[in-house]
Amino acid sequence: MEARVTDPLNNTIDDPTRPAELILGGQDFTSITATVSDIVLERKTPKAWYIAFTFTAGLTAVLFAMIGYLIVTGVGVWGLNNPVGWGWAIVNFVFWVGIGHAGTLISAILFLLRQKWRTSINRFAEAMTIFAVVCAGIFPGIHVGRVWLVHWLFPIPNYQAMWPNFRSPLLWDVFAVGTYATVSLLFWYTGMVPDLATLRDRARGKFRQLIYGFFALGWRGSHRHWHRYEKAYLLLAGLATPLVLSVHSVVSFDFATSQLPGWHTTIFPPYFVAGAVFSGFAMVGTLLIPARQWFGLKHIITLHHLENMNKIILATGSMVGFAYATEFFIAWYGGNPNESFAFVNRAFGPYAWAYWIMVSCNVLSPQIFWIKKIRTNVFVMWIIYIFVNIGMWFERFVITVTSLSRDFLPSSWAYYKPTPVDILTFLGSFGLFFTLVLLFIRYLPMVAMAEVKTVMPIADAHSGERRSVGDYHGDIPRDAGDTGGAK
Amino acid sequence: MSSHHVPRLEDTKTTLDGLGQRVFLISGVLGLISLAITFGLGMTRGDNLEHFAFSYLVSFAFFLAISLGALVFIPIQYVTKASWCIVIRRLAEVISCVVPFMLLMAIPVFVLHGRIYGWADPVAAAEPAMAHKAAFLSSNAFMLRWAIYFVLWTGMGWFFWRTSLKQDENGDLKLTRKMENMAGFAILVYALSIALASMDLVMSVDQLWFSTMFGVYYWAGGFVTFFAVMTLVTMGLQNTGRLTEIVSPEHFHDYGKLMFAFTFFWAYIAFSQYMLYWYANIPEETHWYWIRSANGWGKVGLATVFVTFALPFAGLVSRYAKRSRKMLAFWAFWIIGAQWLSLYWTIMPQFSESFVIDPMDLTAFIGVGGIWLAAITRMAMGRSLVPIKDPRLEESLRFENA
Repeated sequence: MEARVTDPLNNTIDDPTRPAELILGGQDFTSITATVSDIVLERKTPKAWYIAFTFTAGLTAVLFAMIGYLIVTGVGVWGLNNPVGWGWAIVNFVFWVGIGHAGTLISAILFLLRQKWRTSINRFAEAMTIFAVVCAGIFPGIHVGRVWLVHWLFPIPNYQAMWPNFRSPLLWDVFAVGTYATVSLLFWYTGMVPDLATLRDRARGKFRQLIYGFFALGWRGSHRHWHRYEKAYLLLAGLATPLVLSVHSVVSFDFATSQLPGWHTTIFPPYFVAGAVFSGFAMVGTLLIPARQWFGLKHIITLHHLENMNKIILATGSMVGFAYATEFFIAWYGGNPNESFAFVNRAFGPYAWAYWIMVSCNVLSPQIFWIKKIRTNVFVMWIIYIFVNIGMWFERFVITVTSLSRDFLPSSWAYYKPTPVDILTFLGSFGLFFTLVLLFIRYLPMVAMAEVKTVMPIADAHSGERRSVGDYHGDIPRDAGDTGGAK
Repeated sequence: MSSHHVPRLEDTKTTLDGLGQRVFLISGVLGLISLAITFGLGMTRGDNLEHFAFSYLVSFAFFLAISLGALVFIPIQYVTKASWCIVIRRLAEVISCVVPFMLLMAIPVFVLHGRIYGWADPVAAAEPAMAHKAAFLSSNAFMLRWAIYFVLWTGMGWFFWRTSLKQDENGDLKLTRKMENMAGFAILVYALSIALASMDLVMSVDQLWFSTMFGVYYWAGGFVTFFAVMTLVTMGLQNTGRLTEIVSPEHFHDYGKLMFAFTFFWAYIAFSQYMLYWYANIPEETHWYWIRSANGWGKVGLATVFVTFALPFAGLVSRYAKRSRKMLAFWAFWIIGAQWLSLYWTIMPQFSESFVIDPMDLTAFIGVGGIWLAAITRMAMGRSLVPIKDPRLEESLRFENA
């Protein structure tokens, strides 16, 4: 049964007697710092980066052009009809908000659960959270029709003495997503302060030193700094944990508080949360795999990390499947003919194609992660991530459009089709997302250096009791002098 | 903390010995007497044991949920390769493997199901709204499904129990791997079965009402109660000189965190279910809450917001509370009572129009609980209370909340 390890970068062999090694290739603190910060500071920007950036910036321009066209012309440029008053805008909004959830789960819940493997991927995932929320925020903003009155979303005293309807879940969304964006940004930035100090200390050139120095907030790596940093981090993790549940629960309320068959069901809040985490991990994986390949991070973001992510994808994908099944069962059990019609219509009506894309991508495709060979195969897992991304977009499409297009009155039924403007706006939002990711990769530390160091054996004062670490034992300060230490 | 003392198994007692015999006898006899009293009281009501059946159902569903919480706790530990829990995992195994015994305890529910479930009443079952599911909600289908649930749960519980005991003898690492491989599959089977079972056991008391969330609602209540029971069982054992040192304040701290987290989770589920039905205000969904807000039941429902959620939430939020034995014990008792009250509120209004706690409710609680505890003790007798050769035992002994 014992598999022989030949690949030095394969740490997915299960050995119950000790936890898997998280950082491979005989790294020490200095080499971690060098690997991660050199990507930003020393290495020449690869040509591919410029090519990619040009492309994504172009797509972003398309997004803004489409938004401009929309504002000038009106929402008639979209494929909305009567009765489908909510089309791709809400679908894209829910899709992007969901993507962000991986970052929050990794940074908050996995932190509280002491999951050490999170340190290699949390920075990347948290960055994606913020970029995804940026993309998400656009859609309700431009969907309001009169964009110049978008500030009415907020309860600001205005000249007409009008207030938003506090009983509307759409308003709760404004608060939920707003809180989420704020806490995620704070979390991301707080965690980055020691690493920014490292960049400041290693940067050559006044301008870079100034910029990184400004954002490093005078970090000197003293014990007092670390003490406060860790307190703040723990508190933010505690605050962000309910946010993992609340944001997508509130998003689900947009649908579930209505009386529309297919939308109004009590399992929506946890089911949306599971789906959000599911889609978020898939998106993190989609970008992480090329990034670790191109920037030589395979020893930091190891196969073990990817395998763990795949297990979470398998778990959350199965939860989503469980929710689909429960909805179907209760639609029948409840005996409301409108409800059972809505579900039969989903699976066999005019949008059956979308429904079955959703089921096969979300429920069936991740099931092959039961097999260890497959969940440790980088190529296959990347394909599955793509499937999941597609499937989760379709889930929101299926929920939104199938229920609306065939409502209570057959004479008003209509088939919804997106216009080119819809499609280009959505593609453009990918442009914005990838542009932000590319900027992040280029200018900020992709891996949380300071946090990775804490999970390495040499950071453990007890490590000598289990394995020999030679000269390092006991007398290494946790940041080893090169993480933003005063020089 | 850097010179953390690592306790050794040899320093403490890890078997029940004489204590087991005593607890088994006392709780078993107390349970039997209480059940006899409950039955006697039920007979005096002259309602064909209907009240008895409902009182019994509440307590049966309550203790079943605790054992079912244990049943999924174990595979979750394997699938996540957790190490903190090793020193207390055997206790969870013991609680989980009395599930087959609960089949015996379910007999009164099966025998009296005609008094409990609306669908078993020929008049109610003849309603047009019941026509499409008459075959599903029939006595035979109900019994058949319960047979399947118990086969699945028994298989699951005994697989982890047997394999873990086997490892006590030979310390084979392959057994850990075998359980890790089975764990994911077990959780899947468990999730599907408990969702349907909770609808059968509790939700279908009102044959017309439905909620997709119901399985999660029932499970969450049982899961948080399970951690409360684990806290008290571990403390009880330590008070009699067992598992001392090896189960440290660090492990209790984790019990506290889990009780805190799942108190919140339960409230999240209960709130979402209520809010969505309240908001949409569709009669076929809200009638369930109408029954539960009339004649004093509304006050109980409102009280659960505080008793089951807000107070334990506030009480367990601080690190100090989670590391204080006294406060942890207090909140563990509290959660057991509070979750029982919530389940009582979920089931009982279907029988009695107004809120009055009957002596039978309490004797049924002691009766089912006593026999359940006796069964657990019986399983633990003669075994080591710690999986002595688990490969992660050492890690668990060293465990610290960093």
